[in-house]
Amino acid sequence: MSGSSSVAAMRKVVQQLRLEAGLNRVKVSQAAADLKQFCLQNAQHDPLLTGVSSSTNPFRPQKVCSFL
Amino acid sequence: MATDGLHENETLASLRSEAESLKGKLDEERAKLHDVELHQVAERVEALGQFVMKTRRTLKGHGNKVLCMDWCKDKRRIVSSSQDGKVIVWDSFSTNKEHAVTMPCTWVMACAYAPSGCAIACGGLDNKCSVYPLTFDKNENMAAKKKSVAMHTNYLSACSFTNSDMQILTASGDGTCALWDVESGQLLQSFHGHGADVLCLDLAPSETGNTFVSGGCDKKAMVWDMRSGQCVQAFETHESDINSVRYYPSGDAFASGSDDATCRLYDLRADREVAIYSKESIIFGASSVDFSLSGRLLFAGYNDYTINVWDVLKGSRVSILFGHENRVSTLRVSPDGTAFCSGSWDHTLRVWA
Repeated sequence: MSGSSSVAAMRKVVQQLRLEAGLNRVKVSQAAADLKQFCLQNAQHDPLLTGVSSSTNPFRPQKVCSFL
Repeated sequence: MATDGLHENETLASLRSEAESLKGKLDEERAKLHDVELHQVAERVEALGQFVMKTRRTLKGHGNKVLCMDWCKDKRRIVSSSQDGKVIVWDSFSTNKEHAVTMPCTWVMACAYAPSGCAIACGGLDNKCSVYPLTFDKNENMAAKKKSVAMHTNYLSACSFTNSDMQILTASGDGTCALWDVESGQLLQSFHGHGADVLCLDLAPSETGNTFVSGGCDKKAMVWDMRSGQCVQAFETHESDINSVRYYPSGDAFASGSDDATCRLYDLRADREVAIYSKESIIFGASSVDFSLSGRLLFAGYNDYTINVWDVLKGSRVSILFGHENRVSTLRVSPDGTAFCSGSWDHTLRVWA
């Protein structure tokens, strides 16, 4: 009957919960607004979002030039 | 002696009830701040148009399931590892193989590129994480310069260099994560708290400070302070193993992909889950997730061979990508965001743009 080890384990759980309880939290409306803001601010610099043209995206096929 | 036993039992019972009341308090606190949903805040945001994303390169050469891949900071080289024990470094522009090494074990579940581009790290069923310097000398045997860095007591599931080539963070089936010094192989910090195998980890963007997030078979995602080894936040809303975790580019949130067929977004400042990316038609687990540069798109690879592209803000799916002929096991967006690479059990890697 390892009473002491389960007490020690339980103490750790309680310590951890106390730590988490002490956290300063922000309202979801605030947090969500910040996430939205970040997306919108950086949208132009997101090649996969804006669909960068062939000339600047090294993976997209280059348009072929032909000499007449 | 009898009184000691009684004392211990009382302490156990009182600790248990304190734990219960703390958990209840945490749930109450989190609920109070849940005043709105993310997709509601994003209602007025312009909807995304049609996406044309295709496979632009297919990397063939692995003899078995591709389990992991990582981009080099040079935005073109890729390292990948496979069930057959091979680790290959590719030039994704030309699809040429630049380096290849055979590990002494099968199921190389983790691989990572060093920030300098001069080394790679990998490991799996050997319970270790080893570092191989990359050399262009044709006469050099890559395997000869191998350095064993991390030692776990079960399989290595994930590894990542920190900001430099000098430290590596590992996650293991032994339920722990650990931080190692590459040069000496010394254990710098260990992270205990998961109740089962840890399957994935991701480092916070450098501006955000010294934290990382891990996900495991205990359905928990945990955020750790790298210096103290302390778990600072934990989230338990998934209904099955968490296969992949990835920070949102601002560092204020992270996404997870799970065997419960959903991906979720957790905001660190609100300390709660703020979005679920799921559909009734998606019933297979999500194995890997990553964000586009602005954080607007979430790419997720699934066990039903597809890649779903989600609008992070609105919570809707914007595209579904077909191409792989077996499970998608790994997925990373390139460092400059121009493409993303997926690896699959069909033995190939695909670069999409």
